[in-house]
Amino acid sequence: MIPRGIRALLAAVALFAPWAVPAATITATVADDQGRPLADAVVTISPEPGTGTPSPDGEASTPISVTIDQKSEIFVPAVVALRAGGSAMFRDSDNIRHHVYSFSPVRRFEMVQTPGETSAPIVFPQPGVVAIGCNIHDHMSAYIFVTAAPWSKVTGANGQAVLTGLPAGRFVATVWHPRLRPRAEPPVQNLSLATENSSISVTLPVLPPRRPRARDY
Amino acid sequence: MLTARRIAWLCLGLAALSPAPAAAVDGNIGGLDINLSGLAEFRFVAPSRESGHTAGGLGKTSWGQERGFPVVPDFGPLILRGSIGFTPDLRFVTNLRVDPKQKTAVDMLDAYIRYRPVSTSRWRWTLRAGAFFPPISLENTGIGWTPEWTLTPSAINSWVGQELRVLGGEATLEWRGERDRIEAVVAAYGWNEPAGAAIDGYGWSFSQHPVGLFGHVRLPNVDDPLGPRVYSYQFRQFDHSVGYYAGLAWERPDIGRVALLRYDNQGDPNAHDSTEFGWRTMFWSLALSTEIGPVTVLAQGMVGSTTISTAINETSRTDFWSYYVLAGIERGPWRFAVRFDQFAIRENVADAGIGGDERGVAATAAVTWTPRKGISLTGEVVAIESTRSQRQLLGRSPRATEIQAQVALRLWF
Ligand SMILES: [Cu+2]
Repeated sequence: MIPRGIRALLAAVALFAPWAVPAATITATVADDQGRPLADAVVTISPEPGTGTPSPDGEASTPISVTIDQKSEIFVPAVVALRAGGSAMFRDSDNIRHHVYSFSPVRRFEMVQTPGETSAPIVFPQPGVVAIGCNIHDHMSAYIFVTAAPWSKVTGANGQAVLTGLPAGRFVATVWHPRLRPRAEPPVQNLSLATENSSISVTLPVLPPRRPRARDY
Repeated sequence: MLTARRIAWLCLGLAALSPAPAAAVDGNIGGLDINLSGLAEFRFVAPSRESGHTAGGLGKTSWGQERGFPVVPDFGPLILRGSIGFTPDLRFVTNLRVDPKQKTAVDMLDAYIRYRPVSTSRWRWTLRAGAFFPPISLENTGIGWTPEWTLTPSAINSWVGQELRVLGGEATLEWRGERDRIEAVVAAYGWNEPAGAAIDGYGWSFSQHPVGLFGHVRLPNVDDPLGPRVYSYQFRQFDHSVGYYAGLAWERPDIGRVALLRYDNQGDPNAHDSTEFGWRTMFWSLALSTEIGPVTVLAQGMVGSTTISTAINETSRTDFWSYYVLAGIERGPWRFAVRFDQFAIRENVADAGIGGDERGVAATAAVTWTPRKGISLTGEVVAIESTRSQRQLLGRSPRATEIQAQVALRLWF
């Protein structure tokens, strides 16, 4: 499961859509290739280089600090976006230990967590995908999408991510998903925005969810 | 027909009304991570008209005609799984199988220690020691060797469940690339010299009765149908050889998984203890899994032989092969699967007479409904057509067509 995240990064830029944005809010709707809403897709928006669109200072919406919980041997949330230089904390809400680790070149770390424990913040300086696993429970997986983009949001169960607080200007949007098909043609979408609230919709070709393997823990 | 329909409604009612099963028990006691979980099964079976191998017959199904009713209820098995984490790297795992039809009502399917230090590099290694199933099956991913898509495992994995267990040690080395993942596995073991007695004795079967470490397989009473029951104990050591297996697997999310394994128990055909003989059993297994659109495809082939000494300087080799292809699809709470198996056995016996040659095909269809986590209801039909020359010794036609249907309620806790 972990190589998938890294592999998906290689084909990560799913959408380049330069457009003028007079809007304050963008609603991104992401669907899989069967048209079903796709949760856990990371939508990022950053100023298009060379257009004079300023990078925001204070109002950027990509989190600089996230907490990933572990409940019933599941990482919650399973996918987070994090500003490069930001930090993540891990919490163990189970009453057993977990052994959180990453061998992603972007950020390698490992730590044992005891029941109830919240870790110290782990800093992620470089953009990239960090696949997180648990060395005890191989079925547990999470992804930290570390990005320089000032705005980013992860889609919910309805496949939507609402990005707010954008100034006027031209932007580039990307969409990434842990199960993005390698070698898939990234969909490109151009937008003309007429109203303050605008929307984009993206179809991502994704692999089916991984089926469980025999448990050996 | 009315009965079958009533039973189906009863099962549906049970599934709908049964309370949400208790979740697995997790806890950290005195620094140890304890996990207890399990599976309880209850079913109605319309057995095959042949006498099954568990009753000393030459039928291929789990349930045969021996009980004499068109539909029989059956409780079991109950699987209890326990695991203890001593440290984050070191764990003990066991699966107990409770079934009054076994030799011992409570038996142990596996019990082993897993040692796996964390690695933040592309490489990771794992050691296992104890008693465990060889990593052959793509189907039996559930606890206690239960298959994920069907109730009845393929011929190959039915056999693995009955005769193979690794009592020894295993080392796995994984390489985790950006897309690809490669695993190499080697193992050394003993206490499995009689493995081969069952596939030679009654041939391939489609069995939901994996054998525990203290259990046995019943061999058919072909020579003396009214004689005493004959059993074979698979997990015995009486020669001084060390068996091995070695395998390689490659996996890529957009392609699937390919796994090749060579198994050889290196048993001495001339060795024996008071009841068991040594069977030199070896095989190749090739397993493939992939997704084609929404369809999961599992395929596995096995070809091998088992050799026993029949007299001084005289051996008898039984060649066996089988393959299956399974296609499964999941739609909301529904899961559909079909599987086709083909299997054959050829005995190379020096003396003339009716041997255990066989060939056959089987088709399995299963529908599983999972209304909520922890409960599922599965309807399954297995149809097997086989020819086994040994059946003539029982005064029967060598050819048999068997159909076994069942509806099973499964509760995970
Ligand atoms: Cu864990």
